[in-house]
Amino acid sequence: MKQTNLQTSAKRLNGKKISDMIWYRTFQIITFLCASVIIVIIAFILIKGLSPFFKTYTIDGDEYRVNLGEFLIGTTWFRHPNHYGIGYIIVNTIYCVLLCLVLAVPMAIFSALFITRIAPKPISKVLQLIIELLSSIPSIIFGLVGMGYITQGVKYVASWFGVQTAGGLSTLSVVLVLAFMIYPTITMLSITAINAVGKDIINGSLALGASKTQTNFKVVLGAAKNGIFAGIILGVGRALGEATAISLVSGNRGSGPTFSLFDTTNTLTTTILKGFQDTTGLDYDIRFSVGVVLIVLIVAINIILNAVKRRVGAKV
Amino acid sequence: MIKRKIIDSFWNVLTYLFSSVGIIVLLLIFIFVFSNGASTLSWNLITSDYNQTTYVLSYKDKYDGGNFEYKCKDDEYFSSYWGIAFTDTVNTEGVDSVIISYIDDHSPLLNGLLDVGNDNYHHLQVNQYVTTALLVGEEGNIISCPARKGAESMAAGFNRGVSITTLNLVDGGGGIRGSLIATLYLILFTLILVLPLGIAAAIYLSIYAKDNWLTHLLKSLIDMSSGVPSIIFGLVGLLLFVPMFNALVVSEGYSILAGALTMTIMLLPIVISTTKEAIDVIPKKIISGSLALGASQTQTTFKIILPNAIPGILTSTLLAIGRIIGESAAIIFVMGTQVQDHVLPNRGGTTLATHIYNLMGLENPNYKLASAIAIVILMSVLILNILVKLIGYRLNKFGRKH
Amino acid sequence: MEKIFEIKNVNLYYGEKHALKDINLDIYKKKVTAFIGPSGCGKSTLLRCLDRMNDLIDNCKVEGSIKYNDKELNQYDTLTLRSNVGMVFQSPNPFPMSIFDNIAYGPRCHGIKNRKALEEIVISSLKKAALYDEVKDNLKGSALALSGGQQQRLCIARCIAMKPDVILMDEPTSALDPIATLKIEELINELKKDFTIVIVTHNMQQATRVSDYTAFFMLGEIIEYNTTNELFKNPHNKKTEDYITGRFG
Repeated sequence: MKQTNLQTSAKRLNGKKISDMIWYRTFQIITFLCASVIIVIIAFILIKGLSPFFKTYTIDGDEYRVNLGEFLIGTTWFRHPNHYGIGYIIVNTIYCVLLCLVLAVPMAIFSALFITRIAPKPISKVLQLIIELLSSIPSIIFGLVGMGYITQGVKYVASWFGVQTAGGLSTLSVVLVLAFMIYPTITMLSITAINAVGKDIINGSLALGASKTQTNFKVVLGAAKNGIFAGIILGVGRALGEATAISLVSGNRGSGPTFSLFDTTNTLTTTILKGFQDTTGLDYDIRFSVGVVLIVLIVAINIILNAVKRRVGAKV
Repeated sequence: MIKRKIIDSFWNVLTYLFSSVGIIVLLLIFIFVFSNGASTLSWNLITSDYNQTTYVLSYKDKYDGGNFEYKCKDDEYFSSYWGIAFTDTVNTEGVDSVIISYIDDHSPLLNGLLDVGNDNYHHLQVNQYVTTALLVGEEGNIISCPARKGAESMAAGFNRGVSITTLNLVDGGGGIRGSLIATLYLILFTLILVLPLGIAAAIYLSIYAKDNWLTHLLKSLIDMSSGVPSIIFGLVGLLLFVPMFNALVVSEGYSILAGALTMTIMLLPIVISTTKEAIDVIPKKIISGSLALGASQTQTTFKIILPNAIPGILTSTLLAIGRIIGESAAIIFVMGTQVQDHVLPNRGGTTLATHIYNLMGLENPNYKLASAIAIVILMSVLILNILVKLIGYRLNKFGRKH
Repeated sequence: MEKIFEIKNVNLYYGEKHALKDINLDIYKKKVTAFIGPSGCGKSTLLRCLDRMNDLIDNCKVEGSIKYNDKELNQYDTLTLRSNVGMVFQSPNPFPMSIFDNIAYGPRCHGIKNRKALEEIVISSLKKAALYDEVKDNLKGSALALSGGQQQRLCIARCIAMKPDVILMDEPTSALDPIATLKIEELINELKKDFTIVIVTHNMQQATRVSDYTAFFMLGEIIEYNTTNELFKNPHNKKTEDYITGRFG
């Protein structure tokens, strides 16, 4: 029997089926691997991070183990003698992030409103490009500019108030750097949210005799609030996780907590970063513990913010 | 009515005020970076070593002087006695210095200078900095030519001197070649790892995976890791990957390889989601068409799906490169902060971003060099962004899915 | 009969396109006037001129004279004009707020803050729009949770809350089911006691059911304008007759 070229021989068919099987399994295994990354991360950080509380370390001949309670509530962070407390660091971290939100969120919402609803088309396009550019600038450069300009600025402002600063390294510097960093993120998501508001309700508002400004603030922002909030949540995530940029302007405070704008400060991330290069033993392990706390904090804040988002969204 | 207009204008003014912040911030960054870095940025910077090598050289024998001729360019000062020309310049730390800008082929200084430190003859090269020179004149007088007196005075001093007691030379210094190469290595190795893995996972999730709880779980797990801050990835890398390569006897301590692995797990979510978007946009009917012709799923994947997903894959590549260039926290933990001039994959080093971090941590932060590096980073990020946009406009055949 | 709108020699251009050609029309006070005609013939466009919503469209140019209460339209401040001439749109467009806030929106924008005053306005508007009984227990509920017909009546109530003289309706029932449509038509018959109504409709029978006057549009021109009775019983123009009898749609 003649077999035409277009008919697949049984052998060919089998070959195809086997290769299909092989590729399917390969892709599947790779996907499972990728999905397991997060589990591996959490597992290892937990294991290493919990060890200071369960292992005993010998430092300078003394046996030492960190007390979990003291660790969580503590207000100092010293290497010698081992007084590791991150309580105050948690407070400082939340304080800095809150302040930076106070700055960044209004700036972002107003900018988004301006770009989408008020500015003439060409200016709007240029501004959007600028915001996109800003959001892709690596954080280290914000840190660089922070060290160069912002700390000088803070030093100057502090001198008006007659306050001494550690060369400008201060909470205010941290807050400013963070605010500038997350401002583009929130703005971009707000722009998307505002653009998605239906023309019909905008027209409806205008037809009732409301002015453009009233329409913008009462109807447009109201309808866009879900998207804007999502942007804020993203911004908060970024602010909590930022390390190198802040470590350059924070001043690394050893004790606290502090609420003064001109004092040096400390965040969880800068604590992990500081001086890690020549550490061993407990000082090394304890950074993983800080890492655990950081992850817990981020997850907790995310859950809280998402719950708030749902309530705000439902209250339509 | 008037009251309403006043309230409206108040809000309008606020809006204008707050929106100008974005521009102000960008301007701040650019002004700072450019004003500090532009003068330092040069081809020399990009190609020279970071660490300096200092030479102490001498030419003890009395030299009768050749009659060298050379047409000087602007700012160049020529010593016809020795056949060497000097130029004023600014070094990478912004200090006024003198460099050798021309050496005649027959000049005795070309290969005749003795390195006092190791008794070898030093091959003199253009673009090496002269910090100071001490010569002896005809009458046995000592002629001192420090760099701060400038190139003209140095050339004049050389013309009066018949032998050289010491010539202090500095080679390299403040260059970013090492960091640049390390960055490129990191990008290369990371892409080699993250692209195949990410694309494979994207293919599985878009095409093969059934719509059940397991698939949802996988997707969620992958998404979750994009919410983890980069410093945690650094810690994990330090914990897992650095020892791993050490155990394989490939490296000792930090390594670029460990950095590549760390960046890989960090970038997997974004590569997977961008590629997945590109695959999802391909109309189902094209895929059905291929299968209906008797092609196997594998053939369809490689001949139809992948080629049509290329724009998305390219986009994810560019996004990944952008993140790698900008990443600092994770890399510090697995590659260290020591600037390397001789870069090897199994050794640590600094990328452009961590080099800035290193410079900021010095007792005297080197703003000029850091700003120069920042310019390089900004330009790269800018170009990458433009490329991503271009790909978006030009190559998307199936329309954009927002 | 009093004229509330006098439209004289109006031509409207969308860029190059001549959308309204030499329109001459009078709208009478406290009567229902209907604009009918095939799609794209300019009915909605003319309607939007009456509250200057066309101003929001780029490259739209209007020539001619439109007088509202003996004063040229463009001499009015838009915010004042729109609080006197309200509009209900084709697709209900309630704000993503509570029922109460939707209706109170207009008055609030115009400076009424007093809680009691707002409550009075909301309740009376809902009653006039024949919606009050259905929602009176749930004024704080989301407006988006109402049915299509209820949402449209909400939009009418929202419009009434501004105490306008004129209500413009742009195909208000085209997105609604027959029962909701009937309710709105009944409402229109009630409303015309207090308001002048101009309604654009695709549905000729609707025009016969609710309107006192009807204008028939085609390709940007008014072919015929008369009392509804006359227009439908004795059309003067052959084109009108053809349209009414269904020879084209």
